[in-house]
Amino acid sequence: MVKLLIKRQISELMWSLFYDTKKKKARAPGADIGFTILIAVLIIALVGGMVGIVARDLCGVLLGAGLDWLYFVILGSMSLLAGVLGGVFAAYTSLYKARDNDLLLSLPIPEHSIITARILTVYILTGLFSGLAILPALGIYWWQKKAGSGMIIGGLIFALCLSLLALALCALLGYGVALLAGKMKNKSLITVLLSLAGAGLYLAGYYKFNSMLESLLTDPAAFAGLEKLPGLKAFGLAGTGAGLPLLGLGLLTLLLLAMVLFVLVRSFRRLISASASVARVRYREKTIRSRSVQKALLIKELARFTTSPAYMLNCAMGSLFLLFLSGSILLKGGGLLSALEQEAEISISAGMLGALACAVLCGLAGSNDISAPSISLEGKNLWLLQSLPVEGWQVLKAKLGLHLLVTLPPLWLGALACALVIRPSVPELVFLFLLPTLAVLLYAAFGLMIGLLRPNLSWTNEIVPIKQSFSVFVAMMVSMAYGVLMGVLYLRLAKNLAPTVYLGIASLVTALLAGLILFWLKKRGSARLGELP
Amino acid sequence: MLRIEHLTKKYGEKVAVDDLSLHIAPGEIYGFIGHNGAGKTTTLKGVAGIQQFDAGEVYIDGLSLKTDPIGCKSRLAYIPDNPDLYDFMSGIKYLNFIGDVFRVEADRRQARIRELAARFELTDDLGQPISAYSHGMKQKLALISAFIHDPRLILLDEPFVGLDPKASHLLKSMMREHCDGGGAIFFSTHVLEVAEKLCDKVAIIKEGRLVRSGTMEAVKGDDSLEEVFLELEEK
Repeated sequence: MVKLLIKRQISELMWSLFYDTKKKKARAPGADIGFTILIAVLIIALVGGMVGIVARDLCGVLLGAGLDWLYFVILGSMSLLAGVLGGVFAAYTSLYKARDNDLLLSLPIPEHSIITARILTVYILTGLFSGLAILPALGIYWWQKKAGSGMIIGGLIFALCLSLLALALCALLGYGVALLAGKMKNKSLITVLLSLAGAGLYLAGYYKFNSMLESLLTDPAAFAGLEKLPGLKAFGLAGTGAGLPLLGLGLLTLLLLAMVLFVLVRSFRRLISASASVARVRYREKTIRSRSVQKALLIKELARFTTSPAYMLNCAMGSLFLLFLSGSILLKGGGLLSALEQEAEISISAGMLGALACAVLCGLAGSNDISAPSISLEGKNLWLLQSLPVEGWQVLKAKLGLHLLVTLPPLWLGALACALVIRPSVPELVFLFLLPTLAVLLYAAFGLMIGLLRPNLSWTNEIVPIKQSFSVFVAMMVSMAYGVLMGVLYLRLAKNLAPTVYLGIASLVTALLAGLILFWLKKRGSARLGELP
Repeated sequence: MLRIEHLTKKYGEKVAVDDLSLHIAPGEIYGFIGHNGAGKTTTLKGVAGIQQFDAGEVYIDGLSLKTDPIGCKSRLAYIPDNPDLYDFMSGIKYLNFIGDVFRVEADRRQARIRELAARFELTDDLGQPISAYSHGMKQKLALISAFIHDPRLILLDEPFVGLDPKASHLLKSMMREHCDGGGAIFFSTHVLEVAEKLCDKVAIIKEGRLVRSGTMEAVKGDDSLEEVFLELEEK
């Protein structure tokens, strides 16, 4: 039964990837598969490479001090955290917000089968994220130790345990959110605030971790005392492939997972009905104010966005990063500057800083992909927009508007913070605001175009179009890459090109690209919206 | 009011609607009946501007749906058989959204919402999110949203499904009131007794082709509509 349910979930995912809803037939997957593999390889190389660098430095120092277990405590914790962060946003939505929950519960399917199938799709994410963090670390360790097959198998079991532990924690957090959501009025807001608090804790922990890492690299022996903490050394030793600790970790993982599954199964039906029940408030008539069609459509988009924690948390993290960046720059501007100079090992002029700040702002804003899933999110409601007397272009403008509304204010705040610290010349100041603004317009338009070209309107769980769709994946990768490319290109050309000239050219190219896509959206995209099935 | 000329819609090789022509005049309630998959919903969606058709033309109040879709849509209201509304909005926000899109003035809108919500007994629930509505409540909300902007033509796909007897009775009277006021209604139904009592004209569709249409008397003669329908189905 579980196999059948997983097959159904995978077919939903595949449907969105390889089915052409317009032509009502499967599309040739060749190019898509190739592109997806290419991007996946790039991500694995990038993230794996970053973890690999940290692991290499740590491995050299800690193995030299005979603290192999500490190496795996640190890298194992990183992997666990990555796995939890990777799957936590999907856990609640996948388990409790799927549209077919009622249908499946009405069928003769045991609840534990439904839960297991749902949990396994979350496992794709936790496994991927935790694996990206621990596998390079294991590889470096094995290479340094010239590992035999026993150590390698032990390490792989360790990695498996970490991913399963991350899954259990994700599921537990999802359960916690569902418990709270059943009792709260402003569920979306509370869910987002709780998640943001979690993200804040993560960032604080990240800073702490970095400073700890520096001390560790200079004086590893000072951390040997950590072994007194109960279970910590055993956890680390499991990574080295040591039999008994590994067995203990394995049993603990299975026990925790079984307990979590037990709790989920016992509470599933109750929590689903709790999440559907809303305290009845009698309507009191208020004075109605009319709005323009465009404003009404924008407000509708805003309502869709603000009532979906999954949409906000997965597609608007860039705004949070930008706010965080603004705060950091305002608080530690000078310090950051010298750190940057130290890191880059070059002297950075004010003009260069302006150009680099633009690239950073563009890169961070690129992690907002609000417009990309917005067509798919119409789902079964699409008939409404198609039957109402509104132009397709008006609908698309509202979707673009939401992207800009959520991204531009924190972006401008970031630009202002940069300007206050860098003190650029007037032309640089203009570009500091202009180029990232144009880039956001480009990202919004590009995301919407991809969303129109590759919609998935038949989802049963909104996390599918939000997080697991081709369009979102491509939109975010391309947008972020555009920001990185802007910075890298500048560094390559800095010697021969004045910053303002470079920024001027970059603005022009960005404006041209945005203009082209907007033109396509207005002419072809609007018509395509009307033709969607 | 509504003129459908040689409407044809294909899904791949399958012809869902085949050269269908109909004319609905102001003041008429026009029933559209046929077995499951006969092409009723496809026709209604085509007229509503949701479904692209392969050949033919649709005119609403003399305007071509092909060349002036917005003008046509602003004159009509369409309610599908299973109205999936915006779950993330409350009932009142949804009605306001529809009011804004159809540019219904605030005072008029307020009065219409007050009146229609009271008639459908939905006033107390307008503040609730639509996700908390039952199927019948969603159907009532969709109907209120259809009547709120006083459309000339109302297209209804199986409008009585999910409605309680009281709301069903109310809808029938509202349909008649709308047509008495000069509007027109084109609706599909499987409930032949309702069609027989309510409709001025009726069209029977089979495998995408119109097999009979005209006034109720002309279509059924001395038989019941059910007998005529079953006889045509067996042919």
